[in-house]
Amino acid sequence: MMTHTGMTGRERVLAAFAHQDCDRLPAITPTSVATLESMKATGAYFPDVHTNADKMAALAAAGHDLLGFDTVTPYFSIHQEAAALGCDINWGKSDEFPTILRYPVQEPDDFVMPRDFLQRKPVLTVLRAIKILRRKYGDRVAIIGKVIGPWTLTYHLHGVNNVLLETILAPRKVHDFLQVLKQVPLTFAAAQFAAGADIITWADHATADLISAKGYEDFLFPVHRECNRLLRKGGPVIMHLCGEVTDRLGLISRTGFDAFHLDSRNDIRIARQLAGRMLLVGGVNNPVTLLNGNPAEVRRTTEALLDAGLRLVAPECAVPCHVPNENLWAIVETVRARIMR
Amino acid sequence: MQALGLFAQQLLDNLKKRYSNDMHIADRECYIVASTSAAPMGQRHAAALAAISGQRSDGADGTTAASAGMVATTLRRHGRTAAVILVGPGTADQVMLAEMIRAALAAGISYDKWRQTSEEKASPEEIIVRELLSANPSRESHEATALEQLKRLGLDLSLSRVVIVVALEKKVNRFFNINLDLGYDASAEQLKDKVITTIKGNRYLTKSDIVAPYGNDQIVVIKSFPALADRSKLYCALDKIAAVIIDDLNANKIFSCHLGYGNIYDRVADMQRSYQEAENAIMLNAIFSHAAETYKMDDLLLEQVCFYLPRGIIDKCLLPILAKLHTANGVPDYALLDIVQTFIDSGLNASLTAKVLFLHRNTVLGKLKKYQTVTGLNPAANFRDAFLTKMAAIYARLHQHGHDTAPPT
Repeated sequence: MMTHTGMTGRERVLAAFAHQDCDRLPAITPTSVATLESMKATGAYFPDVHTNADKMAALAAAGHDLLGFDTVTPYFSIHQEAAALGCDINWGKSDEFPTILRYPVQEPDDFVMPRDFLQRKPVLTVLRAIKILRRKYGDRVAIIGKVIGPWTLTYHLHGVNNVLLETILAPRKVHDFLQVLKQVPLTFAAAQFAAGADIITWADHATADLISAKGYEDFLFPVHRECNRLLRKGGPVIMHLCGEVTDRLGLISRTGFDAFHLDSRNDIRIARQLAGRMLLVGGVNNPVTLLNGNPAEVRRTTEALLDAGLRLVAPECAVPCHVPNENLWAIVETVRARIMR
Repeated sequence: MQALGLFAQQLLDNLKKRYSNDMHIADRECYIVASTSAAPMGQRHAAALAAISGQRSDGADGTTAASAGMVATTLRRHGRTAAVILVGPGTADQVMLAEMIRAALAAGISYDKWRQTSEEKASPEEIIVRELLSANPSRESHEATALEQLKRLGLDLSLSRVVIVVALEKKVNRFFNINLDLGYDASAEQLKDKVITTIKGNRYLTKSDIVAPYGNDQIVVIKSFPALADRSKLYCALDKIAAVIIDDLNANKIFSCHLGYGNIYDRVADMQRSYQEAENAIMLNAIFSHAAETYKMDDLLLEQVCFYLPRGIIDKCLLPILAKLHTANGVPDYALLDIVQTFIDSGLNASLTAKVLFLHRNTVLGKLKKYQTVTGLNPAANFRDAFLTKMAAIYARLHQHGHDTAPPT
C-alpha cells in the first residue's frame, strides 16, 4: 500500500471518504464536540454560540485547535432550522442543548418554504461560521456541516408524539410532511457546501425505539435515496441516526449515504457486514466512556473499535458538555498512533 | 439457604397460626435463619448441632430425637446438609410437623432452583413479561425484577403502555378418532417462534415494545405509546395495530389466533391489570362477536359494561329479572329474552325484529307483551327498561358460557 506523508487533516479526511489511501486514519467529528472546557478556553459559550457566527466558529475551532481532530463541526444542536421556521426555542444554558417549546405546523399544507430561509438568523449563523472557519483553516482542516432531515424536522415542527401516532393513523399525512420538508435540508446542505463545508452530516432520528424498520422503509427510505442523489453533487454525506440500527442499516446503506454515524449499542462487526461500502463513523459511548470514563478507558475503547475494523472512530453522538477534554483527546491520540494497515 | 430465608420464615409464620409448637430452621452451620420465636434468630442451636453430629451415615434425610425436648430433622441436598428443622412440643405431633416442614422446604428449594434455571434460559423480554404479569401475592418483588430488566434494556418507564394478548389455538386435524402423533405438536412449538418473529416484525412495533411468549399458548405484546392528552387516538392506533398483527398471523396454518387488549396505563405496575383485561376481552369476543379473531373495544361496548358492572347492580337489578323469567324447569326463558334483546338491537322496531328472527310480527308483539307482564319492564317505553333488559340478556349469555362478571379490582 502506498503511504502518503504530510497530508493535511482535510486531505486525510477526504481521502478516507473517497476510500483512498492516507498517511494515517483521520479523527473526525460528525456531530458536536463542544465541551464546557472548550467554552472556557475560547470564551464562546452555549447558548450564545447558536446565534452568533463568530462565537460558533470559535467554539467549533476548539475541535481542532484544542482537541486535535482533523475536522471542525460548527452546528452544535439540532435546532437551527426549526428556529428559522418558527418554532419557539429555549436555547438553554451553558451546559444544555436547546429544546423546542411549541410546534407551529399542524398540517403539511400549512408549511411554506420561506424565500428568505437562508437569510434567517439561525441558518445564517451556521453559514457564516462555516465561511469563517474556511478562511481560518484554508485546506488544513475539513469542515463538517450539518442539516436536519425531514423526519426530525417533522418532529420539530409538528411534535414527536403527533408524528408517531400519525404513522399509524394518518400515514399519508406523514408522507406529505416528508415531501414538503425535504427541501429544507436540501437547500441548507447546498448552502453549507457553497459556504465551504467539505462534508455534511444528515441527522434524521428515525430511531428503532420510535419507528420500526418497516416504518423506515416505507416513510424514509425513498426520501433518503432521492435526497442523496441530489446531495452527492456537493460532497460526502454522513447519515446520523442514534441507537441500535442493525434492523435498518442494510436499507440505509442502499440509500447512497457515504457514511453512517454509529451508536455504541451496535455490534461493529455486524454493522460492517450490513453497511457494505458505506463507511462507519463513531462507536465511542458517550454517557459511560466519554462522560464518566477516564482517558485510559477511552483509549481501550478506541483500540477495540479500531481492532474491530472501524476506521473512523469518533464519539457516537453530540457529546454532553461536561465531557472532559482529555477524554476526547484520548480518541485523537489513539487514532493518530494507529499504524495504517 | 440465604435465598430461601424469607420463604422459610413465611412457612413457619403460616404454621404458627395452626400449631403451638416452637419451630426453628437452621442453616448447615446450625445458625437459626427462621423461627417462630424471635429469641434464637442468628444463634447456633445446640439441638441442631446434636442433630448434625448424629445424622444417618447413609446420607439420607432422617428424623432424630434431640436434646431439650426438641425433635430435629436434617434436610440434605447433593450429599450435604442444607438445613436442620427443629420442632418443640405443642399441639401437633413433633415428628409429623418436622417432616412436613422438611418436605415443604425441599419443595421450596427445588422450585427456587428451577426458577433460577428457567430465568437463565429466558430472554430479558420473557422475564419482564413473566414478572409483570404475575398475579403472585409477592407482586412487589416481581415488579422490581421487571423494572430492573426494563431499565437494563434502556426502555423508557414514563411511557404509557398496554398489554395485547395473542392467544394461540392449535388447528387440529382429526383424521381418525384415535390419537396419532403426526408431528403437529412438534411443529407447533417450532412455529410459535415464527409467530413471535412475525409479531416482532410488525410495522408498528418498535424497540420500545416487548414481545414474548407467556404460558403455553399466549404471546404477549407490551406496546408503549407516547403521552398524549387525547387518549382516544391511542385506542384508535391500538385497533389498527391489532388488526395488522392478526393479518400478519393469518397465513399461519398451525394456529388460530385470537387477540385482545386491555386498557392503556401510565404505570408499568398496572400491566397485570391490562393483561387481565386483555384476557377478558378475548373471552368476551369469543362469546359475543361473530368476527372473533380481532377484538375492538367499541364493538363490545355494552358487553364490557355488563362484564364490569358492580356486583351490587347485578344482584339488585339483573338477577331479579332473570328470576322472573324462570320457567317450570328452573332455567330462565332465554328464548323470550333473545327476542326482546333483538327488538332492542333493532331500534325497537317490531317488523325488523320479526325479519331478523324469521318470526311473524304478531309473534314478536305477543312475546314483548309477555315479557312486560312477567318482568314489569317495557323496553319500548323507556330507556332504563331497555338498558336493564339488555344487561340482563348479556349477563345471561355470559352465565350460559360459564362466566360471571369481572371480580372487583
